[in-house]
Amino acid sequence: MLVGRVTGNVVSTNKAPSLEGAKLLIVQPVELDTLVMKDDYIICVDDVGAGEGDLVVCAYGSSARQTPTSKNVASDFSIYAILDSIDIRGARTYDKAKEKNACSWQG
Amino acid sequence: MQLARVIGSVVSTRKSQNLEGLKLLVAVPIDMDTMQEKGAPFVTVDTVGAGEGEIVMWAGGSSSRQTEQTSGKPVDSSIIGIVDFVDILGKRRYDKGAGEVR
Amino acid sequence: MKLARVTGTVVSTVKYDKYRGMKLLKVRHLDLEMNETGEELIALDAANAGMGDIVLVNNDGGAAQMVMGDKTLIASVTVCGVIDSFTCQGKTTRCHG
Repeated sequence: MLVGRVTGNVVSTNKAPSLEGAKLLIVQPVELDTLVMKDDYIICVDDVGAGEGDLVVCAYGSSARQTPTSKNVASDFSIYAILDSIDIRGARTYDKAKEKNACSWQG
Repeated sequence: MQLARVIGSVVSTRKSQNLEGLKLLVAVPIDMDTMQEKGAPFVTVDTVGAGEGEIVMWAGGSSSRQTEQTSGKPVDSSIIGIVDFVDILGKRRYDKGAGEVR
Repeated sequence: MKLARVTGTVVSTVKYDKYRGMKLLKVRHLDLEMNETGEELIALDAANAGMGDIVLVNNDGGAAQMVMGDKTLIASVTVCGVIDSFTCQGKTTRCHG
């Protein structure tokens, strides 16, 4: 399961019918221990109502089409969870409630 | 299947209904030559009740949906076993009870 | 899925029967600054994309079957949408028009 930060969205009018209605978000993968964004991105189909700045969990491949709402969507990456917190080696490395500036780009 | 050590957990309240009840853990890959952690941590679904510090076996892709708990769920990585011993070429490399053996 | 630019078309006369009538495009992945990255890929077109279009490229076989509407099709890369615009880190990039 990939963990990344939602940093944007994609608009497409002319698309395959199997993507009709899908919300497409740009997710940039993060290092789990430091939460530093990697120099990469993926475009995911949102299945949980994620928004910009959220740290999310995505599934790849056929796993991206396993819920009633995603099974008929031609997705190769789907967002299935929004993270509240991450604990690694006994320390809380991420706490959504305490995070300031999730979207540094929003000023 | 690959080996990894459980080093933490993640919590999510807002998630796909199909993920309800599944425990999400953070694990880091284990290099079988040295039995040391090697590589970047990742999130995986627990199906066996693994806890922090334990070395576990995990499966990725559609194989991760072959367990009772994850069948039909939107999961692409699952912990499917807790490792007791690792023997390589007749040598015990890891013993859960005694810690790591070189 | 990833962003990509359509860099050409591919014509093939002798091909897998199911590819008959399908358009094959040459695409190149883009990073978020619209720089071309990686190698060129051949993709099946499901979005009626044209040369130079910025498109959404799917890289999964199962999704390719859904996009092309054939459950037994053997394919991996598909162009499944033409992108109008995308916003990343507060910056909107328009892709055509």
